[in-house]
Amino acid sequence: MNWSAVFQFIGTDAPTQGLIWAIVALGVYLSFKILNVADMSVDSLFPFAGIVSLTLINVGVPALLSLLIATLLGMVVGFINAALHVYLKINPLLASIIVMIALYTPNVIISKGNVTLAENMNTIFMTFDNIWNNMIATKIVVLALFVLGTFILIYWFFGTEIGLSVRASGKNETMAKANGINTNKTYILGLVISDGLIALAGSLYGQMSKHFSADAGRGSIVIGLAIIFLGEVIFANKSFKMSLISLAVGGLIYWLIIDIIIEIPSFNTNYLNLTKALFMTVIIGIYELKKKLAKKKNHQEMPKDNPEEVTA
Amino acid sequence: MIELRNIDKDFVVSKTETNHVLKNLSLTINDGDFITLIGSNGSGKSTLLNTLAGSLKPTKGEIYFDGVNVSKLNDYQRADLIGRVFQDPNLGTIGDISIEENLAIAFKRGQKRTLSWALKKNNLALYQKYLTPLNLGLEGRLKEKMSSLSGGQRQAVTLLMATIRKPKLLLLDEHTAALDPKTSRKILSLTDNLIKDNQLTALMITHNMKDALKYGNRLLMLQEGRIIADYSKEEKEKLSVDDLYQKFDEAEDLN
Repeated sequence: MNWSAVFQFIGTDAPTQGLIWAIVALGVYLSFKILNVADMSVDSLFPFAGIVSLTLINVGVPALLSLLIATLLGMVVGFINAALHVYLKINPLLASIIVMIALYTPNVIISKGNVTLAENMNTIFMTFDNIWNNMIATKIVVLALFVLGTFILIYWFFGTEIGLSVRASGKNETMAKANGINTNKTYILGLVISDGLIALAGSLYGQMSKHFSADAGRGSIVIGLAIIFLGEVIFANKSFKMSLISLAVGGLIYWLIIDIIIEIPSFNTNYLNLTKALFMTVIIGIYELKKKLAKKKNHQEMPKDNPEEVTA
Repeated sequence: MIELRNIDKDFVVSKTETNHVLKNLSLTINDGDFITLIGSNGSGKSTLLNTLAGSLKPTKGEIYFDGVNVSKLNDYQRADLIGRVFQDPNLGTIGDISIEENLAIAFKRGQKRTLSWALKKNNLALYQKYLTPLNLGLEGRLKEKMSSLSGGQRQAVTLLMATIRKPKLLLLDEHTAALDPKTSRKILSLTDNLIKDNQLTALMITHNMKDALKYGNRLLMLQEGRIIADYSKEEKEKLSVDDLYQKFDEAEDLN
């Protein structure tokens, strides 16, 4: 084991991975936390976007445009996912599983199993690298800009009247409807944005690694969820703004931990998915425990209408 | 004026069994009416309220608001006409977001929601102006989460939310039943004041016969999906709780 290579790996991989998965976590946060549904389609949408993006570049489409097209296709997938529930009344979880399975087919057909960036073709990272001539710095700067852009955009959107109505629909459908909110529309809008973010992240991931295989991406939803829970464990989730910040920080910490685990000399990478699942279980365990304790404390402090009337 | 014309509401229980909850029910609600609605469990009170709100569609019959047929509209499409307060204080508000955000959602009821910022400085002053007369000290707590309020405080805010845009009809579904007696009294008198001050039209379900007699200008008795009595303000004033029980017994004997 070459330890200098290990340090180099930790020093380069965790930030880039962390930044990309922060965007995935943001997408999963919108479906899981705001709309209250588990969107399983993430597992095949993430590779779908990467494969589409690389394939488009290989046929001569500019890198930035391919990113845009893949993101838009992700939004279409989100619409189909939501429409299955809204118009065909399919249970949201089942609808997302249907979409997940369906996307495997284009993934295999487009990539023919594997897609690799053709020689002489440029990703968005290479385009910007001509300025700095330092690939690691370029990757981090470009990804950080995307994270900043998406997070600011999402923060802004959910502060608008329409964004607030999407949040209301996920939290309390009865209240939302009583206040004139069409909860079908807000559900569609929420999933379209969520899946657009997943596709953007998948596309960035594809362009960064210059390679995507059709069966990559399995377990993406687990990583996204783990980052959300990790963020909530670290930050005691105070406001919407803090929740968003916790996702970005959670993404970095998650990959730092995973990288450290991978670099344990005796670690067999065949155990990686099991490790991730166990890691997620531990995080959710801690999260639930913290919630339970907070509830206990809260219960004692629950405001009463007439404290003097309450007898022990 | 709100009219219910020959409303039937059936629930299919199984292939062979249908539950007829509302039976050829007709009712005219005049502008400014404050109706109290009483009836035993299963008499169709909540079904009637939900049918007016659009959460349930009538099996037969039509509903008119000022001559406009709204029977086919969903609840969210009728929300510009209707303000609602539910029995469960958690249903009318969202605990996870601030009081101000809750009010901002209600402030847009029946209006087009846009991409402009939901929390506006000007509205904050307006919300404070509305909250101050409640005497709950909430005007200084707008940034706090709704879940930090007690059940009574939440119902008071829900009432405000239901009336901040004047509705054609305010629907109150046993909205004080989950509160302790003292708070219940407070919320009821607050309700009464709000309705009087804003000259609202309201329909209130209650299980409390005394409240049914004390509040409002009209009392409806519902039994097995039919209106068995419709008392005016003058008739109501002469009634006692015992008279109401007697009326229910008579209706039962007839069946």
